[in-house]
Amino acid sequence: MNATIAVQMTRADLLKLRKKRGTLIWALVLALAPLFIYFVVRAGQHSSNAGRYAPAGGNAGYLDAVRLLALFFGPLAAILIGAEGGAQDAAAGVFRDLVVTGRDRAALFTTRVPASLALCWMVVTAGYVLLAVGTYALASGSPTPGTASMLNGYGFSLLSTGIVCAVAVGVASLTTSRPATLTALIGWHLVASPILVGISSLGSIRELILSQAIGHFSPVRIGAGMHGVSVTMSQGTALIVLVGWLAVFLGLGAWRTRTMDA
Amino acid sequence: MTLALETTGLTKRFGERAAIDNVDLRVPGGSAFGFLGPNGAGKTTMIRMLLGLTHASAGSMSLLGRPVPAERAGALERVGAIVEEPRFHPHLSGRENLRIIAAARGPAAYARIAPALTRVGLADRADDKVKKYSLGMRQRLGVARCLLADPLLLILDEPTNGLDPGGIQEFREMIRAMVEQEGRTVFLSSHLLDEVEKICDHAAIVDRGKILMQGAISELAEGGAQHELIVGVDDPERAMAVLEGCEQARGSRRSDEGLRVVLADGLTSEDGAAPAGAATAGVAAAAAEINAALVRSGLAVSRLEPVRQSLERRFLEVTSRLSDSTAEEVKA
Repeated sequence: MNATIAVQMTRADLLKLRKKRGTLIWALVLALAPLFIYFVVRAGQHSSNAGRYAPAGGNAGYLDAVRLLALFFGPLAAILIGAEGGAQDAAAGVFRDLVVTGRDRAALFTTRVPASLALCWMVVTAGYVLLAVGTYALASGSPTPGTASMLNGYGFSLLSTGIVCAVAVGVASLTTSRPATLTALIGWHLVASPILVGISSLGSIRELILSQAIGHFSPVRIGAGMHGVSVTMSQGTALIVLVGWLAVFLGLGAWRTRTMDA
Repeated sequence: MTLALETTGLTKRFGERAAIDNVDLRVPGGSAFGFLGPNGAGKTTMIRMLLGLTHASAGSMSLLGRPVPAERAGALERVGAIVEEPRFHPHLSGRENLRIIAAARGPAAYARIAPALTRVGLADRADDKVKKYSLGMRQRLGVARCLLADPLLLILDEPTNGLDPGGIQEFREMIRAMVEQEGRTVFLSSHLLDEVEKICDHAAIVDRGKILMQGAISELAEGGAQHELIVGVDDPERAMAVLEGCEQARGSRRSDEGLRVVLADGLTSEDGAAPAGAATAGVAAAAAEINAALVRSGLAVSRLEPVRQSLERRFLEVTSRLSDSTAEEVKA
């Protein structure tokens, strides 16, 4: 597959995704609504009692907002988009028509990843714009993060959601079912991961939890607790865990796409 | 004769059951070829193997002279196919769905989108979402999707399923035009005998995964079948007595249409492979002799008409024989 066809196919996959209005709207809601509500509530609290409640924006607001976007709601949006990107051809029954073109099945799988990432990162960028506006507009004179911090936070948000999105593409390509993928990954993200993190007797096994490994790349202190970083590991270990998750699920998705009866 | 599609010993097994059993198929280039069989005969499985959607258990196949799966990508470059009902992304327009396939086929396919939509009569509705299309429109969009490959070979699986009579007629005309005017080969699977008879030049009859017969439609319809005449006479009883002494007639019986005369054997060869023209000439000569014998006996002959052998009758003959004997014993 030459570069021209790869770009064409990625654009075609992106077309399918961005025209899926339900998925796009829900992904935007997940990326924007929690941040909006967070800033509105915090601003209301601050305006009602400035002595007791800190400003909604500024450094404190920024840290909370990054946690919301990069580690909680952003990954949910990424799962929605990745599940759609990985399963949409099989779900619509169009996969066989793509196979009949003679195009290599590995290529059909590969182009799903950048297309899903592109849409995921558009959505996350929209969320980050809201985050930045809230951070500065609602600072009420308190210290605000510098440009470097803002860029680092943006990069981390893209990294976090991108990895989750790619894993979702792999899982959806493996199951060829969007509902199954959403159930498995959202269940893992919202329920299983926090529970496993809290079981200290699991020891170093908890290093394998994706959210914990991602959290180690945060440029800002995102703290411990639910969806924070509670498991200690080296940066190298965290990197190996991330690569492992990507390799396993993208590998399984590619294998299934290559071998399944279309 | 160039073959557009060829299989040798092609077999597909699901466990112990052979869905396709040692099939040798020859599809001449530039023809409309019907792959005819009852539901569950193995037609779709065969097509899925040809297109690489599922693996063959044994045997070899080639499309447009290229072995599959060894040169599958090259072989499919000029092949368009609809497998079962055409499926699309319902949230995209017809044009966008074609763009998806064009992206996988390569840059040249983009330029064919507009002509293909025009060719199938969907240019005006190309920007409507596919979920608003009728089944007939989706079938036509499926054909447009095939045309993106500028196909030398079209493989269509039950293409008229769900179409209304007008849609079926349009579809037939489109297929014939593709064959006769554009020189494409069309491989069309169907359980509808009438459809195959009206569209195709050649056909194979398949049942329980085996090819029972294949060849030109006229050969298939006539091959191995007995030839009959309908004879209108003023005195059928006396005519039957006269025909008993006529060597061209093997027997006769009365029917609603008149006297039905079974002609003697020898108009076709044992395996039914005699050219259709030879059989037709034989029937005409026998009819002339029978007419002369009746007239010499003082009978007034008002009608003398060969009974047209239909593919439907032949299809029912060969598929019903299966229950009595093995498929290998059934020869055209």
